[in-house]
Amino acid sequence: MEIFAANNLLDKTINGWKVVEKLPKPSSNKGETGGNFSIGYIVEKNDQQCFMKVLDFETIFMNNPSLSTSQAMQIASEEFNYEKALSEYCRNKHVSKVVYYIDSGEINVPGFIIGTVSYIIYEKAQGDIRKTLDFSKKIELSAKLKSLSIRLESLHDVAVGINQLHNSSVSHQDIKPSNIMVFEEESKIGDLGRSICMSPEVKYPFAIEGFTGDNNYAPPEVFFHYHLPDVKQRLYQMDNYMLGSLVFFYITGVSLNARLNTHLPISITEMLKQGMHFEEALAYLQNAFNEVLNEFQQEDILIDEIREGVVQIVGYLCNPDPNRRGHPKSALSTDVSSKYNLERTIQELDLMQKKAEIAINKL
Amino acid sequence: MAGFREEKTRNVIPNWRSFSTTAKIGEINGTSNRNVELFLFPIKDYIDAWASNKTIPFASDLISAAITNGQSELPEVKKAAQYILENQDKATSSQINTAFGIICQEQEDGEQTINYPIQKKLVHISNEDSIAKEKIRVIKKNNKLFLYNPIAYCELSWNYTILGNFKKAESAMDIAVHLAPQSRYVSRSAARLYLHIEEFDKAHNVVINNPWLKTDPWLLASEIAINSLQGRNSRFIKVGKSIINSNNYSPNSISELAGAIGTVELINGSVNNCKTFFKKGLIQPNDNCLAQAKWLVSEVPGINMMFSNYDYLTNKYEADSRWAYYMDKYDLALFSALDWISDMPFTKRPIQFASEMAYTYLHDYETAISVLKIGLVSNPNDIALLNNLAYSYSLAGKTHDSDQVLSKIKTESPSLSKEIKLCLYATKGLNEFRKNNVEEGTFWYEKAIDFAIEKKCDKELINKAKLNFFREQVRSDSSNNDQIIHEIEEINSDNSKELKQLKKDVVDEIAKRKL
Repeated sequence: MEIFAANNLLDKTINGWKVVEKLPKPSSNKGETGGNFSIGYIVEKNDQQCFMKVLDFETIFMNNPSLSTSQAMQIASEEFNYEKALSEYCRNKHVSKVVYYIDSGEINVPGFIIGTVSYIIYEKAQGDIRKTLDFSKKIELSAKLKSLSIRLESLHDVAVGINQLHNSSVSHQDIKPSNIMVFEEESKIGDLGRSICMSPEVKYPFAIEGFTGDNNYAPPEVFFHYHLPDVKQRLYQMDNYMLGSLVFFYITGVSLNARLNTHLPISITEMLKQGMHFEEALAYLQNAFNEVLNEFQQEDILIDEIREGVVQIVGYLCNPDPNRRGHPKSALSTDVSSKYNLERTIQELDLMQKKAEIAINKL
Repeated sequence: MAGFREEKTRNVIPNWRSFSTTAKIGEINGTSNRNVELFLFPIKDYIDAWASNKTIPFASDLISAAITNGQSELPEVKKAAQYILENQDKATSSQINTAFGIICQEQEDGEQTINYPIQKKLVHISNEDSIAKEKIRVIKKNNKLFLYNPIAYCELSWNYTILGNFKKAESAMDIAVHLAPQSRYVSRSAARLYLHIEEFDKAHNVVINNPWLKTDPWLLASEIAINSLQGRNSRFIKVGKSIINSNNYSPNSISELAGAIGTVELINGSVNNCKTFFKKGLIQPNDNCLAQAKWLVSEVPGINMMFSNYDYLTNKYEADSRWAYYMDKYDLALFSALDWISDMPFTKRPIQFASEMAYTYLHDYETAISVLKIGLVSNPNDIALLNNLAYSYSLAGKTHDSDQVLSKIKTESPSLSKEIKLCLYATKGLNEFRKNNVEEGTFWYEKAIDFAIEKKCDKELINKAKLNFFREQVRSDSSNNDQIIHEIEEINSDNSKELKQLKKDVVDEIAKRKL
């Protein structure tokens, strides 16, 4: 008898959803690099294909030697149930630029030692943005402009999505290329598994402390455990940094943190090993960031019409100092919320996408 | 008269270099003597994603994750980087640069000038001002992209200082301090600049207002040295001593602090304590502590220290210069001093030191003139440097040039110190002698010596004036050489290499005349 039902759902039907494909981990379709304790399936109902995320008990048992089985199960279940509740909450709040939540539940599949299957069903994307981006140099100008326009449109969608989440008191915490899902006509943010909801409607099961997302795209203060006192400002500014970092990735194909490290005289990892504090490191981070921006503005894909604007967006969203992060027009505001508000950024991305479109039409 | 060198005291005031040089020599590093154990963030998901998607975006996402999380050495990461380099037509310049950084982690250093001959070194240093101008242009341009970079303002200030534009240098540094009041590099750089422009309180304030002062040995060293420079005792000496004795700090990070406290101990008369602190400072010294130790050994009678081999230490040009001087290897001292100038182009000490090696010991007046001209770019109104330039011109026989330089100085200005006045009178005397105006020359030398005696100037300075005067008298055949030999013997030169050299010059001149 098989032990875990969650790993053996192919051809089974879950609450009317027929399981048609098991995805390799990390899911190539969803492109997930997060959600370590989940398995991805493609499911079908009424000719509609969807993505199903199932809690992976086997991995939970194997990957938590320091915890007892029940503790590990409890934590993983809390996380999974939280994601379910949060997905539903976002759907109810009309957060349109986050991958649409369709169904969730928990059933018992007979014939297994552990037959419990806890699942969430989302709309299915074509893939993550990394599959769409083409960084080739040998393309014609029209193709280059089209590609630029698509990227800006996608970034606009992501910025709208983050703003929608913020307006619903949710910090995503894991904005990165693998979590940007591409659909036929739009991009959406995927994987709410690491998000922090501050609304009383969905109780975040853990203490709001550090960063919960992927280090690769984390803002520098996270590495040094530097905290802004205002919780919302702290969390939203992290998201904003990751949005800026995403803009950087869309244009350069590498993460901002990687370039930052390359321009630092000693890497962040080395600074941490030497016990350096954030305030001391900040000046060096600012200098490296300045050099990165200088390099960034010379990227081939950027046309003159939008070059300055794109560099400015990365400049103010990714300021290594979270106290100074945010749109320059909000810099002097005493209202904390205006510092992390993304409305202006959304407008700017929209405008730049239009400029790219105009450039295409001029050809 | 003989050049005037402010070498009577030395404190371990912070050295100020460009950011990249400071970083290279480790002065921006953490101070702990233990490495913090870090949790290694897993990048397996990125490796798996790359394994199933062999494309540029997945490869670059993997190498990005590896760099950020300190795992660039993994074979999969190298393969991904190699893949990008093999498909450069499909990659952006950032992707290529990042991949290249993983494959070739050793970055090539910039131009190495250390083995240049003296003339080439001089040409290189002479270009510092045009390099500085270009750097200012580039920094200003790049700064428009991001206004919050304190290091850029430090660099701007550094380059303005090289050009002697202290007003702009100060204002750029003020911005840097405003942006990063907690940064060690900024605080120490600012302190050094403010000391250079004689804003002593401002220099002290910038260090004392850094909230990390009590736990950062580099900042404490600066604070103590600034106080010593002003003849005050720091109230943080006790804190500094406890840091040194705590064993929680790396030997390199406490070296300058140990040097600063050791110097204070010496000033307070405790030679043994001074040696004890320097012993700790010299375990893994920075160049400043080493230079201080070598200065003490060469300038303070009765001080001796054990030195190890510090070849690994870059930028120890001052220490090398001083040691070569101590060992009477003046050509080597000049050689290293030129690197010292290149390392810290705005400071007067290396200029004074190098020019003195050239005109006093090597009689290489043209080199002395070149060096002093370089020094005057950053310090255009420095009377001591102007006097030394006039002195060098006179010795080189360029009396017209010497006159031109001297004409810029108001010798009778009440703001001039008595020592400077003495030097200026004597230099005028020298120049008149070299123009064959013996009477006029005699007038100025006698005026200098009488003035110095009346104002109770340092005995050594008076003797230097006398020896210069004797040499010129001998050269012009205007005196009784036997009388001069007698007077030379009366001058005690036991503790002054310069007096010894000047005495030798007079004796050599007499010998030449006899032939």
